[in-house]
Amino acid sequence: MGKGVFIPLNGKKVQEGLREVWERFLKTSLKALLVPIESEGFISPGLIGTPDGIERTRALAPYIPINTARLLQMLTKLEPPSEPIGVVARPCEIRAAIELRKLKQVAEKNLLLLAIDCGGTYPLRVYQEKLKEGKVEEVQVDQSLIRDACKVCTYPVAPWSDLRVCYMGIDEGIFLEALTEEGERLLKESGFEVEDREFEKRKRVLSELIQDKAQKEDELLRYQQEELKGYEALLRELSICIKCHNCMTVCPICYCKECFFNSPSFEFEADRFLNLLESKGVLRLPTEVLLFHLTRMAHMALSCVGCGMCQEGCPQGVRVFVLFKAVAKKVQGIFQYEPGRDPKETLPLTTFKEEELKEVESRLHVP
Amino acid sequence: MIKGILEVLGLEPERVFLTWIGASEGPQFAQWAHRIDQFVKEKGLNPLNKSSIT
Repeated sequence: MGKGVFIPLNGKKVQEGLREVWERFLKTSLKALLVPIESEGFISPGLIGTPDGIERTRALAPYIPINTARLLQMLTKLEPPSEPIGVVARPCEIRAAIELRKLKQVAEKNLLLLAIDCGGTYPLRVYQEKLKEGKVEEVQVDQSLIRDACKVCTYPVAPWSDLRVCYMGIDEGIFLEALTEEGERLLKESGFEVEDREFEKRKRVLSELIQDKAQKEDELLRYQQEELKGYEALLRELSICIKCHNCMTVCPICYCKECFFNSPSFEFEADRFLNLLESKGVLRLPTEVLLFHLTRMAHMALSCVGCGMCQEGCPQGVRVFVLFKAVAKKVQGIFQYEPGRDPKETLPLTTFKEEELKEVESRLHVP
Repeated sequence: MIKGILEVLGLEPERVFLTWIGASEGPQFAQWAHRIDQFVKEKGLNPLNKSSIT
């Protein structure tokens, strides 16, 4: 592990311990916290500014309605905050925020990223059932019920953030691990003593969990290669796509203000469809579903953090995540790039290297 | 990257060509056009042509 603060729970629940941490942050050094809250009986990210709101925080609710990185983009679109805000979010949200920072879409100033351990999140319907049983927050998430994206996620812990909020594999306590100077300053300003700590059990628990998820990831990629590959299989999967653009809207990485697919390039005269009909015989509407998904892949697969919100947002049940996961794995592998791993790592497509990828160049005369 | 995407999805990445031809290299341009034409003739039409889904 590393530098940080160990907070013993003394018999309290993890969520209670976390609320005390949030309270301390708000009383001393943060103007507000962006954290999952209970709002009219349901869970959503929300801002709390005074310690009064602490009771409403639900940082351990195993449900993610929207990738918080999207909200950070909205919050800091015009100006970063004038006073520090802490953002409590899951590793996939933190990683997406780092990618959006590289794309100049999320501010750095006064925005502290606090990454909380994540054992996975449930699909909406499953979580609604859990709520009926009164299970709002869970430390141990039922691995058989979590979303496809979470089942294969090898990031229960964020590779980078200002502060890691650690509880997995730690007995009777929470560890706040500072990874940046800003994170360390936050702890010190909040009156915590920073020390070096190691947690052998946590290391073991996490490595077992990651190993298990990596195996499930392999299985998913194999499934895609066997079942969702080739013209026929792909078109069959996309035949249920209605091009509603939901996957694009909820994707934290798809950030363009003026999307090509909402542009006049896709406004056609009726006769254009008739021309297309002539060459095809039968024309399925809406058109360009394959083009839509392929273009989105080409645009954002390198920064895809695999949060799976695309599949969650699809009203038709297209397995968008499975397709994106497979493609992202491939193209990120080409550049040995892991989105959200390190804010200093530059985006491969904006980095010039004189000698690279010679194998894709087509040559007239094979040497 | 495009080739990688098409490969994973099984959409014949070999149909995509990438090369650089200078504005003054007319003959090379013609050679490429010829080569791609030959390639498509041998390979046959892209199956997507006949699909009702675009």
